[in-house]
Amino acid sequence: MGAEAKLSHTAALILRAISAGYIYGFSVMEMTGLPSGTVYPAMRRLERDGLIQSKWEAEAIAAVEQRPPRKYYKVTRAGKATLDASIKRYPLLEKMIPLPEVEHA
Amino acid sequence: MVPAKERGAWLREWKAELWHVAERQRAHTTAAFVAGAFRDAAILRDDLQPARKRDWQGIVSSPVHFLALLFAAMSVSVGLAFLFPGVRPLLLPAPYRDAHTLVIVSRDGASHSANPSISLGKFRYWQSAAQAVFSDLSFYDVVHKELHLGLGRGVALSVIRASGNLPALLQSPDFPDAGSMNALPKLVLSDAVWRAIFPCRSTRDWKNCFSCRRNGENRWYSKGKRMAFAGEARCVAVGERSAHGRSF
Repeated sequence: MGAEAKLSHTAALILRAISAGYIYGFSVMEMTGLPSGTVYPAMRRLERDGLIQSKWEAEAIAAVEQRPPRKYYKVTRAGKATLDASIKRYPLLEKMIPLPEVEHA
Repeated sequence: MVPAKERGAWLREWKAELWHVAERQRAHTTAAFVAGAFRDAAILRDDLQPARKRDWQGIVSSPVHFLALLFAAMSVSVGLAFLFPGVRPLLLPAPYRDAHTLVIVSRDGASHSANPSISLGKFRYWQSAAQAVFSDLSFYDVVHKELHLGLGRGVALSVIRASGNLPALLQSPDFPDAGSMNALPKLVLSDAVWRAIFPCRSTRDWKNCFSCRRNGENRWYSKGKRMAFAGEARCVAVGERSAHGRSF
């Protein structure tokens, strides 16, 4: 049993959303229904704690689509362990944000 | 609101997100989204505050850093203390080895301090006197004072203020040696003053008598010894006990 951080339900929900493929702030907002004033601070704290990590989109890709580059997030290994522990604590997380089905060849 | 170090990245992310929000949402939703930016900025600011507190606690918890901090504070305090005129002489080392027993030489012979003082003229006279070598130096100074006795009564007194080693310097066999005298101030009254101020009384429990004055001459006496002259005089000692008087 690892020493995973105990997350609040909101933080666990956001972590679950990122894990489920909602990899930027606005998409997490849309998925969870949480306001921006909650989602962005929570994501920054998750990143500070090493549960997620961010990466700026390449300028070239954004330029092609004529939009500003976005900041994308992904769950780290520690974040995955913490999310697993959080799901045991909040079982409804899996039903609230189901993982996308993996396509098998 | 956002600290300068984090401001660039924070603003860049919010601008990018806002662009996408504005593309897809209506105006009131965009406004609500922007309102969240203020909350995010405030939270980011609060999140960075504990980091600064941790830095300070780290300095205080480190013995070396704390000692350095203490030394710096002490240096500043000493530096500030030197700016006060009354404190500076106290912090500097005494210029003389036995400064506490020195007599102050004043130009006009008047001293505003409690220390014994002599005039510069007297001092120079002593310097040029025949007895050039002194084994010790004692001092007394005479000032005239008006003493109010109450009910409109008053008396003019000649008060002699003497240095503490005067009795020892006199080397009178009738006078208590310096070791038996405590450090408290002694008040010695002449017979005339005794008669004028204090009520006449006789007591047998008289123990200490330090000085008497008879026919214009000061005499010194020790415990219980009979006075060396005939006649009537009074002695008083103020020190370990309250004033005692005795008739002779």
